[in-house]
Amino acid sequence: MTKFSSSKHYQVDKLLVGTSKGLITFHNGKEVRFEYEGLNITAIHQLTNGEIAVAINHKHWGSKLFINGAPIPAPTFQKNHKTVTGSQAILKQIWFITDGGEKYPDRLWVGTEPGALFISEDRGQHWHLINGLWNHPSRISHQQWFGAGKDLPFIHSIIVDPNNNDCIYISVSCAGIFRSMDSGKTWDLMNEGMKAKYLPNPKPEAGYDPHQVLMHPTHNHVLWQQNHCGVYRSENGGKQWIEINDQYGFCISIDEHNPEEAWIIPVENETSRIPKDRLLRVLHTQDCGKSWNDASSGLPNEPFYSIVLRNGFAKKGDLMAFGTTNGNVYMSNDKANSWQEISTNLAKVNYISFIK
Amino acid sequence: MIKVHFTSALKRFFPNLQTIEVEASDVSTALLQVEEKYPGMKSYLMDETEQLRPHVNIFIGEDIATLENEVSANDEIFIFQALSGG
Repeated sequence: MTKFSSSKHYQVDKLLVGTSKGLITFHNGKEVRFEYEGLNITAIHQLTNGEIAVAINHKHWGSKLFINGAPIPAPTFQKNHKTVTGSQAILKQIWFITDGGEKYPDRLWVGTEPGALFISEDRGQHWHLINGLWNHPSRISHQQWFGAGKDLPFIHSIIVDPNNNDCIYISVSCAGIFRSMDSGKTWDLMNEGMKAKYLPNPKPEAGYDPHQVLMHPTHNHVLWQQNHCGVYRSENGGKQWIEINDQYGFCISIDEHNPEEAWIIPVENETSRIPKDRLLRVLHTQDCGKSWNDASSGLPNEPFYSIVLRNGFAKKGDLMAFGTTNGNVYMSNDKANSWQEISTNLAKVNYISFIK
Repeated sequence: MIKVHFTSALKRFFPNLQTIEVEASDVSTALLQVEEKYPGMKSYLMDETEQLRPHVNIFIGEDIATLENEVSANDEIFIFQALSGG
């Protein structure tokens, strides 16, 4: 199979923008590379060795994985794997890729739709379904997993604790947040304190919709999430979530240093998925969400109708960037004190990532 | 021998792709030989349950075919993607 153009020559702080029509690289605000031409990019991750893993979803040929442009096998379901609706599980989309951390240099994790977690111990040459999660009672017996915006539940966030690479968090829409302390063998629900206001019982064991979940890179007990039902924060590794507000949205960004600092991009509500008040706005907190200030200088002031998807918002030091569903990309080099428009001509932005 | 022709849309993933000849009694076994010649091709044409992907069309001559359709000497198999926009 063919090898797309190599990604070995990336330098510092380039921005990868995964769109529904290809992968575009920006450097110093300028487009410098176009790869995976015309292909729908669904996930990006820079591996610990600097290589770039990319997932695509092709309407004709299915979901595929690549590392530095070279194809690697995609995970597959077996014939005895049934979805929550009882149908045969067939890979529909790869939503998230991450690596195993320093302890497991050849390990990769992938989150998929239907909602499953796969692990590879050989950099993607072979994949294994994480049975402890697939067979979790909340999914099998209690039927607390269901689709949200998709027909089937899907796993869109995977966190590998940088201090303990056997500690994994995954997020399912809809089911909620799960944590494994043994590299995926066993899983605990981490949904305490969250709400599921779209269910008759808004406080079930599972059935929550965490749109995006992030772990603070050094204060590893601090987690933030943008949920369907609002913004939440945990100070004890997800054992208890504290509701900050009920603002709808899909993405969240957190500061690498200050564990009390985060940014969100509000969406009107679940039935009007347009920017809140039709204005593309970034809100910023430095006090765990007690107060929010506007951090939108430089963003359009006229009505705006597209939103930022989960994984469409990225931060690395003072650099921040986000991409919208109508193909605009905005970037800040001063931690959102001011934004610059770097493109208004892309296709739908699915995924954004800063790379070295 | 049976000739198997491929849509040019697959060449971006398999740059050496060209029409090949196989010996097979049905479409399914023909595709097994396609996989031998072009490893990985099977996952492009079929899902993990070994069903043809919904937007992949296979023809024997001018007739649309299924994986179960029998083929005989001098038949020609054409592998195309369905037309779809977006």
